[in-house]
Amino acid sequence: MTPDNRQRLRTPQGTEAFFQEEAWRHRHLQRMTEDHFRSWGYLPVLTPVFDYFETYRPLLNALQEERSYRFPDRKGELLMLRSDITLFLAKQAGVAPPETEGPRRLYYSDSIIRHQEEEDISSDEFFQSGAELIGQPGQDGDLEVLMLLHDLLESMKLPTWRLHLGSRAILDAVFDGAVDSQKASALLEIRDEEGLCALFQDTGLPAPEHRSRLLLFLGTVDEFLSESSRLVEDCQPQNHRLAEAVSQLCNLATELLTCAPSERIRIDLSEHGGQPYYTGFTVRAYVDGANAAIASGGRYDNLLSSFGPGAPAAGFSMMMRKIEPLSTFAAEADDSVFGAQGKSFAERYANAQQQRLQGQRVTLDSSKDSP
Amino acid sequence: MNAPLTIALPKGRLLDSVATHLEQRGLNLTFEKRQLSAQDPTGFLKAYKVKNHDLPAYVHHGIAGLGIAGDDTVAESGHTFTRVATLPFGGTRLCLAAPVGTAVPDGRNGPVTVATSYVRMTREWFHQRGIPVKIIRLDGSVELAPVLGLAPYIVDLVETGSTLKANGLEVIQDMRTIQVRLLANPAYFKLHYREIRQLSDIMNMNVD
Repeated sequence: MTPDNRQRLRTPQGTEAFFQEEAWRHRHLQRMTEDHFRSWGYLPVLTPVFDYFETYRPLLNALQEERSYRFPDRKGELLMLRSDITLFLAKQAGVAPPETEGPRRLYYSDSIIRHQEEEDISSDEFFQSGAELIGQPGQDGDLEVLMLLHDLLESMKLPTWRLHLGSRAILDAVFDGAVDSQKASALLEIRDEEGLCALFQDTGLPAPEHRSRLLLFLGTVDEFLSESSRLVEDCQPQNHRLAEAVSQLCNLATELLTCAPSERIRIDLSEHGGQPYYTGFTVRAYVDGANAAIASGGRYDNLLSSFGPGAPAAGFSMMMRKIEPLSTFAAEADDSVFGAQGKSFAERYANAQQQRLQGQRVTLDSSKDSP
Repeated sequence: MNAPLTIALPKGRLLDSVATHLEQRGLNLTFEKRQLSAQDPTGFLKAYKVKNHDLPAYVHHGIAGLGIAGDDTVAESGHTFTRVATLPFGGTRLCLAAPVGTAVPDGRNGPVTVATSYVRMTREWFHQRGIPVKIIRLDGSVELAPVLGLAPYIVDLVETGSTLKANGLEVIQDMRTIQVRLLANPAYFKLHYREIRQLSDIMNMNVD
């Protein structure tokens, strides 16, 4: 190889490609995921790779804006590469309103591109699969989305994993309209109790220590059910909005335990969902061996009204490239390929056709083993 | 028995303080000669010795679930970690320093030139105050920069201020306090929070 050719093999930081067996495992898991969504009555949706930046700017926080890839088109309009499928999908829902009444069930499997720190192994291009339930308000909608995610993760045969359930409504009630939610989210992300206390103190809200303690609650559903009343009382007894939000989460968690084993679920009020558009429950999934959440989602009842007729919505997305190396299901992907029998091309072709009818993967290369 | 918690410890003077602190609380981590990993005899904790600067990368990628590092190391890495506990040693201050008698810069006379090893924290501090800044990155001995005329200001960690004084410099502005923390990879914390809280309780135990 000449030095010039070697130069051509340089790859920009943050890109990745995967080949053959690895790509096959990726597809195998993706196909199972899509089959799972279809079996729950969800239909696929494809979103554009780029769109006008101005459309999404009001919905992005400073960090998301910083991480997005933007460029001008030939007329000078600023475009943005797809950095979050839910946002792009919300616009599509506005562009193509439903023809029939009732909830819409949508799923996607596609890549998103956003900048990550340069030393991040996971690259700037992520493969996301996810589902959105549009037009189904309330607890039944929440439960459908949570169990759709739960059952899918179960099918992936992962090591120890858990769903961490939070509530944007509780956060908003504790913030009481007085706290900079972006600052608070950053403190919740690192579980900085002192920092949260100081933030509540600065805004003059009563019981700053108890507010921080409530938001940093992390435990089993049973622990939350037994402690929630006291946590609310300590925090602000007359805050009916908070009591209502806590009661809703208790009901949701109780109902969830009728379908999912308790060891899979944790109540984690520091989970703000990561996206500013969440309004109700939030969820993140963690699995042993992954350095970050493998799935995140929640309820976002106001997002669609940014693009057209409003509708309640909930959903989640999964980082498939983080899941693949941990999934036994993906590892079990059968990648065996056999060679056709026969001396001439025509014989091998006929033999291969016969074997393919029996479900085998067959090449016309006679040097490979036969089944 | 559960798998041990994994923790990255910074090589250098902080390591001795950490090892002593843990040993006083019943967690004995003895690194054999040239060994970079050690496990306490109870099997609760497995430690890796890594360069201070590299520690955030090991914890961010989940190679070690926990780490002990100063706020400066974390801030410069750009990564976000769960803050589990603050340790009672190793604290210091990040300061803006200059030759004795120099005023705090306000940017009215154009961009301020600063030499530092703490590029992110310096940039953020000046940007938050709307002061234009030019940063010259140095890997050490930043006190030389004003003496040799490379930059009129430096940003550095200051404990006693004796090195500054010896070079004709003084602190003109405290920028932030730096604490040493027990940190966790956020996803690791979520799956091991009970054991990590147990470790935090042990580390916060009063042994006097």
